Formats: sequence, C-alpha cells, structure tokens
Amino acid sequence: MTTPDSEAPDNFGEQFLDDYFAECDEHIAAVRRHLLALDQQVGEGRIDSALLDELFRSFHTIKGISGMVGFREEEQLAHRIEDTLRAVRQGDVSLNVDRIDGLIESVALLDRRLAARRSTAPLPVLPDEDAAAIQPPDAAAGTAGSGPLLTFSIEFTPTPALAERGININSLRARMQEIGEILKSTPTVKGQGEISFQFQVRTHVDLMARPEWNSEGVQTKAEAHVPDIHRPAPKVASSNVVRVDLVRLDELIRIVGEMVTSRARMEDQVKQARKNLPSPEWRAMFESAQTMARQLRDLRDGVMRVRMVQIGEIFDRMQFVVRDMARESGKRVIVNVIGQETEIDKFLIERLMDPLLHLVRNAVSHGLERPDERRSAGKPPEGRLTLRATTIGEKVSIEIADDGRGIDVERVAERARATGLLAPGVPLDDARLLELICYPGFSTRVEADRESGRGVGMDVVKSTVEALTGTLSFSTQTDQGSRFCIEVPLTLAMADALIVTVCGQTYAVPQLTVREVFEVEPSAVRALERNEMIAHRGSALPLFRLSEFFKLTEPHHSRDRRFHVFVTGTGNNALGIAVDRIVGHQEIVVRTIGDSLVQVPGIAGATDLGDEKVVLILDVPALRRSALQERMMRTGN
Amino acid sequence: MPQATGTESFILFEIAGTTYAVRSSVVQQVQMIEHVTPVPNAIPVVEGVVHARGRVIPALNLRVRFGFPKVPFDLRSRLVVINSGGRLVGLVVDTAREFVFIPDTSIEVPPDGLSKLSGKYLDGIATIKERLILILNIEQVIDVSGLEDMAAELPS
Amino acid sequence: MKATDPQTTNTNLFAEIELTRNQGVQVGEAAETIARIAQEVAEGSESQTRLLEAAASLSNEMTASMSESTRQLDSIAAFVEEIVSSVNESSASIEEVNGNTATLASDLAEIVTAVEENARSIGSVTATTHGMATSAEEVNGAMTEIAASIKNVSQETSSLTDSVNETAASMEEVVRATESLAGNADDLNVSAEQASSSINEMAASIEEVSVITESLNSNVETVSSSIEEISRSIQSVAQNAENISGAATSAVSAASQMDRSLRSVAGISKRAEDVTKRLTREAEEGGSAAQKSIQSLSRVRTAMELSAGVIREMGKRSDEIGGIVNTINVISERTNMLSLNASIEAARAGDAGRGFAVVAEEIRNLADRAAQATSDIAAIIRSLQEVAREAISASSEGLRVADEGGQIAEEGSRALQRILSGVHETADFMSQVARSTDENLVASQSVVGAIDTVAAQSKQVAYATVEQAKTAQSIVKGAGQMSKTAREVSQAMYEQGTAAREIVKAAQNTTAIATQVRRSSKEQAVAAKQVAQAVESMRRVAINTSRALDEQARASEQVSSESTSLARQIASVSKAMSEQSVSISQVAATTKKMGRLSEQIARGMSEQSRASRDTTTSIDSISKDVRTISRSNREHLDYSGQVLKAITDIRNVTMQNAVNAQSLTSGAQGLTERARSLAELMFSVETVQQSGNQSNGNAIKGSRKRVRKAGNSEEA
Repeated sequence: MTTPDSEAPDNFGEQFLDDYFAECDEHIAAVRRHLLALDQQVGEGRIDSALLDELFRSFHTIKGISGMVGFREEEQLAHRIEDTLRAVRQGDVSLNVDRIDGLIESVALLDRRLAARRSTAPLPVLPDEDAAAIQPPDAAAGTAGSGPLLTFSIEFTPTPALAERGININSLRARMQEIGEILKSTPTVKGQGEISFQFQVRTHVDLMARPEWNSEGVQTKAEAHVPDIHRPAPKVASSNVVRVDLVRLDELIRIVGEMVTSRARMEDQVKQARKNLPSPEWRAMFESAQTMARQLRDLRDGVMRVRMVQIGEIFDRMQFVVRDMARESGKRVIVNVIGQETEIDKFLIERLMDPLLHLVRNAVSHGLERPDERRSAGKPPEGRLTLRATTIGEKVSIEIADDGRGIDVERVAERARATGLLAPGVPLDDARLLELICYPGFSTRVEADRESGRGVGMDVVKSTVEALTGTLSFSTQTDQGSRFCIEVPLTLAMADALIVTVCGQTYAVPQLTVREVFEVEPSAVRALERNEMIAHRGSALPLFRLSEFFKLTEPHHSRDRRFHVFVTGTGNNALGIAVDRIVGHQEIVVRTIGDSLVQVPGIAGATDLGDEKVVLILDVPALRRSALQERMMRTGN
Repeated sequence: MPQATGTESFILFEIAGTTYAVRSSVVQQVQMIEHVTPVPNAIPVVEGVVHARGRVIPALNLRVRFGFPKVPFDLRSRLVVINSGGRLVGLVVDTAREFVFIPDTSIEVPPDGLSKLSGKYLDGIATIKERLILILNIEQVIDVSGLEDMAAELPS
Repeated sequence: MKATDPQTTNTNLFAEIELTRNQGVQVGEAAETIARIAQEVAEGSESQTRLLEAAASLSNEMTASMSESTRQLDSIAAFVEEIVSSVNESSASIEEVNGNTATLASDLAEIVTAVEENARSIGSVTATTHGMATSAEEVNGAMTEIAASIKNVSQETSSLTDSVNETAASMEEVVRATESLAGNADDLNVSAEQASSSINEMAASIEEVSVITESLNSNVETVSSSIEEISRSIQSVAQNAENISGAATSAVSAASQMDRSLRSVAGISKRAEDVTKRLTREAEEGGSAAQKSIQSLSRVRTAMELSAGVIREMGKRSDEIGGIVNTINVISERTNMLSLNASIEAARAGDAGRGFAVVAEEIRNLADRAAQATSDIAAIIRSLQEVAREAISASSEGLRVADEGGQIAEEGSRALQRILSGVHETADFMSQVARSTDENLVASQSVVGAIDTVAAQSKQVAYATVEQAKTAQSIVKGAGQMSKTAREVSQAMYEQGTAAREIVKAAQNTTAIATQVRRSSKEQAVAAKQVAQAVESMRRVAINTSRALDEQARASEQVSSESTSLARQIASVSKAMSEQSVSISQVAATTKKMGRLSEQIARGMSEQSRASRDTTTSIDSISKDVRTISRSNREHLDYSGQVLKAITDIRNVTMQNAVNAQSLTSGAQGLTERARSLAELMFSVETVQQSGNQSNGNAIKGSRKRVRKAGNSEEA
C-alpha cells in the first residue's frame, strides 16, 4: 500500500493511511448525502444551514487529515471546497445548482484521487479548471479560516429568564457551531438541582476576546490545545462510529462463528453426559450451555451487524450517476429512494455496486424516455426511478424500477430466434426473458455507452448476484416500465447450509439455493440419452449426480441404494442434484479459498463443522451451469 | 529477513530421502497434517485444502509435484505453510524438522544436467558436512499454471 | 499099528481095559486128590485174586493179559496138540491096546509113578503146581489172549471150544463106547462125563471169560481210551512234556518230588502272595504318590495360570507403556514442530528474536533427544511385548503341559488303580493258586498216598501176578502222568513263580514308575503296561493251571473209575481163571487119564489108527491152524512180559501152597488107581472109537474149517 511518490510515509504511516482512507470514505459518503439534500433544497429554495455546516466540517476534517498524511493535493482540494462552503455559509456566495455541481465534481475528483492513492493507479491530475470551478472564496472579512485552533470550555446554565429571551441551549449550540466545532457536550447537575451544560469547543476564534461568550449564562474558559489527529470523528449522520479493519472484522466473525459451532458440539456432549451426571448438576450445566447459546447468537448477530452498512450509501452513489446521466441525456429523472436504512453486509454491497449501477444506467438510458416521449405517452415528463431496499427475513431485496418503456419483448424474441436461443413458437415469459437478456453477448444495443468499457453486462449482473447466492428477477410491461429485483442474503459471512455426503465426502450446500429435498428410489430414475431424470411434482426433474461431476468413487457405492436429492431453481429451471445422503442442516461460517490451485467449478468456499476438518461449500449456480452444459453436450444441442 | 550478511536461515524438509531447503522468511509456520479435505476435480498435485491458523489454504503434495509416488501420512509428515506472492499455500512433505543457517558461500548454482529440477525449481545446491541440500525456488514450486493448463485440456 | 482080529483084539482089549480101569480108578483117586490139591491151590489163587483185587485198583494190565490169552491159545493149541497127540496116542494105544494093554497100564503106572515121583518131592509138587501155575498161567494167558480185543480170536476160541466140545463129545462117545465095552465103562463114562463136564465147565468158563474179556476188552478199550485221553489231556497241559519213565519207585520218587515241589509251589505261591501283598502296598503307595503328584501338578497348573495371568498383565502394562511411548512420540514431534515454528518467527523478528531462536534450538534438540529416547524405549517395549507374547505362549504351553501332566498323572493314578486291582486280582489269584496248590497238594498227596499204596500193593502183587506189576506200571504211568502233571503244575507254578517274579519286577517297576510319575509321565504308562501284561500272563497261566488241574482231576477220576471196573473185571477174570484152573486141572487129570486110556486103546485099535490118523491129521492141521493162530496171537504178547512177571509172583504165591504138596502124593496114588480103571474104559472106548472116528472125522473137518477160518481172520 505504499505510494510511489517521494512522500512515501514510513511503516507507521502505513497503518495510519488505512485509517485515513476509512475516514475519508465516511466523510465523502456523508458529503454526498448532504450535497444531494442541498441539491434538493436548492431546487426548493430553502437551504438548511446546518447542512452547510456539516458539509463544511466534513471537508475541514478531510483537509486536516490529508495534510497529516501528506497528501498535499487532496488537502488543497479539500481546502478549496472548504473555502467555498464557508463562503456559502457566511452568505458571501449563494448556493446554486452550478455551484452544487461544482462541489459534486470536486467531491468526485477527490474520491477518484483517493481511490487512485489506494491502488497504485496513476493519480488523476488536479485540473486547474477544477480549481477554478470552485470559486475562490471571497476574501471576506470576518472570520478567516486561518489561525490557530483553540479549545475552550463553555458552561451554560439555562434559566427561565434566559429562555424567555430566546437564549437557550439550542441557540447557544448554533452559535458555537457557527464559530467552530463542539467537541464535547455534557450536562451536569450542580447544587440545588440546577442543570448546566458544559461544552468543549474548538475554534479559530478567540472566544475569550469576545465578550458575548462570557455573558448571559455563558461562561467560557480557555483550554489547552488538543492535537486533533486522533480526535474523535465528528458527529455525522447518526451515531458515533468506530473504524474497524474489515479483515479483523471478518476474523472476529469467523471466531464467533466457530464459537457457535463449538458450543453446539459442547451441547451435544453435555447431552451425552446426562447419563453420567447426577440430575441437578447436569441440569445446571445444560442451562449454562443454553444460556451460552443465546449469548453467542446475540454476539454473532452483533458482530455480524458490525459488518452491515446502510444501503443508503450505495443509493446515494447511484443517485449521482442518475443525475449525471439524466443531465447528459437531457432526460429528467426523479429518484425515489425507499429503505435507505436497510442494512446490508458491506462486502455484499460492494460486490453489488457495479451490477446495481449497471441496472440503474440501463434504466435511465434505455428504459426511461425523453420528456417529450413521455408527454406524448401521457406520462409526466420526469421519469421516475425507484430504488427500494427492504429486508425480508434473512434476505435483502433491492429493487430498481422505472416507469419507462419497458423491454421490447418482440425484439428480444426476434433476436433470440435469430440466434437460435429460442425455439420458434415458444412463448416468452418474464423468467425466460430475463434468461435471454442475461445470456452472454446477447444485447440489443450495439452502441457503447459510457460504462461499456467496464465490461459489465447483464450476464455479469446475473452471475454476480448468483455468486453472492442471490437471485435476480425481473418484470416488464410495455410502456409501463421494468422492475429488476435482486435478492441477496443479509450477510455472506454465515449461512444456513444443508450438510450432505457424497461417496464418503461431506459438503455444505447453502440453504438459500435449495428449494426442497426428497428421497429417491433408484428404480424411479429414468434415463434418456444418458441424461437422467425423475418424476417429481408431476413433471420431469432432471437429475445431476454430484458423484459423477466430482468423479468420486467409493468401494461400496452402489446404484441400488436410495439416495437424496435437493432441488434448486424453479419451474423449467429446476434441477435436482443427487447426493448420497442429506445428513442435516447447520449454520456455517463461510470462508473463501482464494488460491487458484483450488478454484474448481462447483466449489464456492470452505467451512468447518466444528472438528477442524475443512468442509467444502458447493457453488450451486455453477453446478447448475455445468449440469446444463452437460445435458446440452449429451443431447448434442 | 536475512540474519546477517552471508548467511540465511532455512527450513529443511525431506522428500523421498532428498533434503530440500526453503528460506524461513517465506515459511509462515510448520504444522502436522491432521485432516486434508480433498477438492474434487482439482489437479493431482493438489492434495486438498486444510486449516492453517484460521484460514483455509490449499495443500500441495510435493511428492506428486516432483514426480514421486505418494506415501501415507504418519507422525512425521508435515505441512509447510508458505506465504509467497500473496498466496498462502501448504506443502505436504515427508518430514520437516530442521532449522539451519546456510552461509552463502556454501550455496552453489545447480548444474545444468539435473533433469526435472534443472533451473526451474532450484535456486541452488548447498553442501553441509557432506550432506546435499537442494534449495528450492518456492515461487516456481507453487506455480502450477502449466499443470492447470494441462488439466484443463483433459476431458472432464 | 498092526491089524489084528478085532475079536481078539477086543478080548485082549477087555483085559487090558480092566487093568486100565483099575489103574484108572487109582488115577481117578489120585486125580481127586490132585483135584483137592488143585482146590486148595485154587483157594490160594483166591488169595491171589484178592491180592489182585487189592492191587488192581489202578491197573491196566488186561491188555497185557491178552498176551497170556494168546499164550493160552498156544497152550490150547498145545493142549489140542496134546489132545491130538493123545488122540494119536489113543489111536496108537488102541492099536497097541490090542497089542499091548499092558503098555497102557504100564504107562499109567508110569504116570502114577511119575505122579508119585512128583508127590514125593516138592519139585514134583512144584512141577505140578508149576503145571497148575502153568495151567493157571495158561488160563490167564487164555483169558488175556481172549481179552486181547480180537473178537474173532475169541470167536474162534469159542468155535475152537466147539470143536473141542465135539471132540470131547467124541471122546465121550469113546468113553461110552469104552464103558459099553467094559464093565467099568461107567467109571470111564463118569470120568468122561467129568472130563466133559470139566471141559464143559472150562468151555463155559472160557465162554464166560470170553464174554467177560469181551466186556473187559471194551472196558480196557475205554480205559485205554480214557488213558489215552488222560495222556492227551496231560500232554495238552504240558508244553514240554517229558516222557515219564517209570517204575513205581521212580513214580514214588516222582510223587515225592511232586510232593516236594508242590510244597515248594505252595511256598512260592505263599511268597507270591507276600510279594503280591507287598506289591499291593507299594501300588497303594504308588497310588497315593500318584495322587500327590496329581496334586502337585495341579498346584503347578495353578502356578502356571497365575504366571500366565502375570505375564498377560505384564503384556498389558507393556501395551500401556507402548501407548505412553506413542504419546511421548507425538509430544516430541509436536515439540520439534513448535520449536521449528518458533525459530521461523524468531528469524522473522531479526535481531530481536535471536535469543528466542537459541531457546527454540535448544527445545528442538531436547525434542530430538526425547524422540531418540522414546524410539529406544519403543524398541525395548516391542521386545518386551514380544517376550511377553512368547512368555504367554510358553506359559500357555506350560499350562498345556501341566494339564497333560495332570491328565497323565490322572491316568497314571488310574493305571495304578488298575494295577492295584490287578494286583488284588493277582493276590486273589495267588490265594486261589495257593488254595489250588494246597488242594493240589492234598490231591497230589492223596495221589501220592494212593501211589504209595499202589506201589506197596504192587510190590505185593508184583510177586503174585504180572498184572500187579502192570498195574504198578500203569500206576507208574499214571503216576508218571501225574508226575508229568505235577511237573507241569510245577512248571505252571514255576510260571507262576515267574509271574510272581514278574509281579515283583512289575511291583518294582511300579515302584519305579511311581517314582517316575513324580518325574515324568511316560514311564508311568510303560510301567503300567508291563504290569498289566504280567498280570495278564499270570492270569492265563493260572487259568491253564486250573484247567490242567481240572483235567488231571477228571483224568484221575476216570482212571480210578476205570481201574475200579478193571478190578472188577480182573476179579471176575480171576474167578473165571480160578474156575478155569479148576477145570483145567480136572481136565488135565482127566486128560491124562484119557491119555493113558487112549494109548491103550490105540494099541488095541489099529484099524482105528487110520481113522485116528485121519483124525490126527485133521487135528494136526487144526493144531497147525491153532498154532498159526496162536502164533498170531503171540503178536499180542509184546506187553505180556511183565504180566508173566506178575504171574511169576503168583507162582511164588502158589509156592506157598507147597505145604499142600504132600496131599498131591496121595492124590497121585489115587490117580494111579484111576488110571487102572481107565484101562477098563479103554475097551469100551475101542468100540466107541470106531463109531466115533466117523463123527470125529466130521467134527474135525468142521473144526479144521473153523480153525482155518480162525486162522484167516487171524491173519486178517
């Protein structure tokens, strides 16, 4: 993670850089949110100064920490933004759409630079015009942003008299925020039941020099300067945040997951010890085990939640994209965001980022019509894009819906028939439609759009979703619009899994991918051109033997024994995967095996069932793909 | 990290009676072979996956890698966990029990006549008290891309 | 003989006859006297008979007496010869009667003189007695000859007697004729009658004898067959029968030997009993010793089981130790590994880790030493386990051997039990043997006693009769058999003694075995086997011995019964013989009388001489035939020598009758008178002779035929 420039910090700085990047991300995310809000407010003609303050503070911080780590350009950039914001805040400049655009651009630039710093990609050059886009702040008198940072402790005792005059805690708070930063605020109880508030404020302004800071219930004292390197993160959005290395978090989750497994084994052993222990002692032990189970579950859930982020962050980013695209294409788009607080595993959402953006871009560029088209279609000129996130049980559902033209089914069908993907006369339903448009290389659009170079197409969307053990579904109506829905589990760190055995080997199957399980009599298996199938629920379920795919043999593995099948996929896509036995289900901790040596088709990761033996996790979508391939090969399709 | 100029520390292990050496700096740890989970359809040189300090890593059977016949594991068998090029890979060896310092002066370039290991896997050959030690180039050892290609060509 | 005028001849003849009659009377009287003497002699013979009775309880001499019969046949032949000669003489005398009746008288006178002469001296008496004895002998011989189991001979003898009868009848007629000639024909008749009656009696007694001898013959046959059986049975008992030589003395000595040996047998069996008792004791001791050995073996077994258990425990311990060693191995491997990892980390830490690296190195060295030590221990454990395994298999082997030993000891004990019971059987058997021996002793003693008695009696009889000697001989034989038996008994006893020795040996062996049982098991079996064999042979011998003794008893019984019947037979024979002797003497007298008469008659009757010559010739031939027969009969006389001896003894006895010799003188006188009267008879005889010749010739023809037949059958 070292940078190639001469300002390469030493080891100590390396660690520090991680903190720096993490903090920057937070601030930039907050900034984005705020800018979006500001954007709206500008449109509405009302600007929340608190918002401006927040923005200011964020960039202030960014500037500071960038300076700490020696990223001068970033510091400067942040500084410029900060100046602009100050100017706005002070009323020296007005905030208009352009200005907001400029701010957004700057933020984007900053983001890019930071991303570049993170990897070893070449740093985007700070264009001067960007610098120019940000109007230099007026050399407004008043408070210059320079000067040493001073810390004061202010005590305010509210009284009814003061409150009558409008001097209350809030007004004081506003004043303090105007001039600086509130570091601490503590209510205290003084004698006689009086309550007073103590604040610690950091500001460039020398409050001691201002008499209003020592009157009307306000007492101000100077404090020693506290270096602000490790100051606590400013209050942003909701709660206090703690930065945690994701790897450590993963480790923590792993350990907790193992604890859950170990505890389950201990419970088994306690149950077995029942016969050797007198009843009262055993009962006490058993109850302790139960308690521990509860506590561990809570712990695990808690730790898991640490990995969660609000999907709102992603949605914010998507909104930027939409804004840009709308502007470029001249379309007017209103973005509805529902369920921003919906939490999702950070890892998941990062993986989903590109697919979601792709869907959003598709919606805006291909789905939504231009205003005039819309008008003539009788729709409002602003296209509506709805981003909705909800939690359904253990899953998160993310919906991207537009009220545009919908998918041109006929064209798709035509192209499909032309390329032989669709047999003539076969009707297209939504599911089949989705399959077709997700087929690699299938695209009705030839023109490259802005993101085409990224290599993200519908097939990648599908495969990414599936790799995350999620599902992609879709509905469309001509002239009404399309809706794409991605369902993913709340977290990938743990999953419910079916434990199966095949030829003496044990595997874990993520339960999300399993529709049902049942037992099969060998005599019920039919074969057609070496493709096996079985009658199930009134239709023929194709059978895919894991033992064959994994080329496993066992001395007394015989085809005469009953075996188990779990079904994945629905309807025409349903596939029965045959194993020897389904021995149970268990919550497992999911571990990835990164090394290419063991990247084999059909294996998604590894876990252990509590006895230090690695158990491989099946990649059911990959198995399905292989099954399909084989069937096609066998039937000569 | 080199101990001092002129010597380096190595872990010695044995395969089929021959002593090999790897720089201890690339060795994360040495552990017993407890349970190896076979990975289906992996290339033969991959014994399977194992636990190593909380992570699941691939286990490479060096006997197979070097073309020797497999032998059953025993109390002396070891898994040498290598951290090289960002990869964490375990090597299955007959035994690994020595930690030695080999002065640079004792290391010689391997002669060209050595088949199979010529140049590719060997960094050098050291002679310590009449004992022949083959110093391995671990990156080459764990690079099985050639083998994977071969495996890919095989009908599934 | 010259042919003269029959009338003249007759007249002369009458005179002569008268003279002869007178002489005949005297002869007759003499004959009476002689008869009386003969009677007395007969009485003497009775005493002989009694003696014979006494002596004949054990005899089988009748066979030999048959030879006497043969001789008697000879005598008969001789007698017949004499008859013939007498007839010849008679014929001649008849011729000469005519010529010289006086010669007859003088002849008679000569006879008388002769008789007188005899009577004067003992010698004459003896001669007479001798003659009587000879007669008796002859009678005996006749009897024995008859009894010689040649029925044809006896048949021929009876036919011979028929012939003699007819001759006698002819003679009778001659006599009658003589009587009719002369006035004293009655006397002659009477004499003839007497003679004929005597002859008849003789015939009858001969018949009796023949009958008796027939039965005697069969009895003898039975006896002989019984004796044969006895001898066979005795032979069957004895493996190495010796021929029993025998005289009564040797029998006695043998008997006394037997007695001694039996006593020694009794002594041996007594000793054997003692030995058996000792053997029983020892066997019992051996049994208790075997029991002790069984107990000790079971103790050994228990000890073995304990040691096996200990060894198994040890095996388990060493397995445990092996497990611990394995654990230590695992630990040392892990320690080595940990130290290796520590060294790796220390190396990564650079200088800061140097001290740690040293420590890691030390730990690794320690682990390696521990590994070495545990591999040494493992090797020791392995060898210990191996040793334990071997020990376990050895101890189970030992257990097995102890079991076997126990079993064998059990078997040995059982064998000892068997030995004990066998020994008891032996003891019982030995007691039986002792008892049998005692019984044998008693029996043999009684036998010996009997033998003694017999021998004594034999001695008595031997002087009197050959039969006694023969009896003694057969007694000897029997005694010899008995001695043989006794020897066999003694042999059996010896065998018993051998068996007893074997018992002793077996007992010793058993004792040794009993000792060996303590040492090992094999000797027990061998010794037990030996003892069993010894006991077996003892049993066999005992059986044989008792069987032999049974047979001996049976044989003895048979012999005694046969001898009893034999005695009876001999008695009757003696009786018959005595009667015969009476008759014979009478006949002799009469014959002599007749002889004289005949002479005279012969002189007077010349014409009859031709007929007489015919008769003579016929009678010659008869006599020739008879001689032939008698010669044949002599073949039966091989065994008669000793009978003669017996008869000699009888003769000796009769010599006692010498006292009566004197009487004979007077008798002889009478005889002279008798002779005189004979002359008278001669006359009548002459008359009769003429008619008689005819019938004589027929009779003689017939007799010749019969004799020929007898001779043929004799040869057949």
